[in-house]
Amino acid sequence: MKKAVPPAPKSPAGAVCRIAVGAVLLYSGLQKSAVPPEEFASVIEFYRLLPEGYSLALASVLPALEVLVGLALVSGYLCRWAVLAAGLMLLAFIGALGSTILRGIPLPDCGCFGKLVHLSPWQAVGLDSGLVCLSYLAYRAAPAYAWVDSWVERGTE
Amino acid sequence: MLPKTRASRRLWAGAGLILASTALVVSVHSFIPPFEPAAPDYRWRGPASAPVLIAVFTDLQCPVCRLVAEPLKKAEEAFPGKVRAVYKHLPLPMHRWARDAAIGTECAGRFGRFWDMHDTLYAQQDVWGRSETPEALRSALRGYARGLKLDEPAFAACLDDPGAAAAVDADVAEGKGLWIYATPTFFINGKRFVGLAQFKTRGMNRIEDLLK
Repeated sequence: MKKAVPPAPKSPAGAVCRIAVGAVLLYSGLQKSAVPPEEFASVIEFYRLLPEGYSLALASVLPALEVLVGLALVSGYLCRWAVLAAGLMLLAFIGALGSTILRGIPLPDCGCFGKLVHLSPWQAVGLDSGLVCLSYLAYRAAPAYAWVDSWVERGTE
Repeated sequence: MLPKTRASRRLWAGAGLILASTALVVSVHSFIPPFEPAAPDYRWRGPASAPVLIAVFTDLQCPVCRLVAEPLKKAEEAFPGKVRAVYKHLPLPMHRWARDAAIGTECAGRFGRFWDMHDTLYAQQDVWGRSETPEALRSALRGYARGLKLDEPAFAACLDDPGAAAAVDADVAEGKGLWIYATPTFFINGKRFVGLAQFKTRGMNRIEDLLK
């Protein structure tokens, strides 16, 4: 008789990682929303990665996207997809920061948290790398404390 | 009333999250305070009740910035009584004498002649900008002060006053906080326009829109 494989134990560690990444993204998105998009656009222009005219569009969209992904992670909605999205965003941030370091563009700070928190590009790369690791752990762990997903799963077929 | 099936629950939850994110961003955005640049009275032009405020961060030694005065005056004349302008110092590190010149305008401002000194320094930018030594620059500034019939010894004493330098440095700090590293940079009721071309086109359109 074949024995049913028990589901992976729901470890709170994965949830802690997921919520930590979500909280940082949520905070970062809200801080960026607390300045006019033109301000954040000038930060993006400093990175010299986008063609002229695209910075304002990105400055208008990125904070809202961070808030959305942050909320999804904290509330536990589509956990794995949200963690994946967060990981990709963070890798993109690391790439952007790394390119300014390699090209010798002297950023006054990373511009990641609006006006309140000022991190140097290297500090921001360190923080983002840590968050990528947490995202990976959250992706690998069985979803736990995913309140919205649990509510969805309790629904009928 | 709550959805029963998984698919509808997922849809509802997704819509709820999008709605919550939008509400959060919009509510945070609505708390952005209006841009209220701080500057001494002598650096302001136009009525305090004017609905349009143009703050311009410029560098006295920047060649493009000398061209700012004319379009700025045009904007003020095109909408009489509706536009207020404020000058903000942003001497760039690449311009050797820009900070000292900015201090010179601050000192002239104490005698109520800020804008006259500002105009003089832009008109004579090629002369004082080529000063070889701090003494030569200082002599040029004193000469301009004399030309404006300012109290020259008092003006000269002011050039060494830490208070005048602090006023310039405060603007520089404010500019850095706003991520301004190019001059001229304009803020029209808080909206940023970098460079003269942007000001003349999109900036003027913005003023017209604000006054509609």
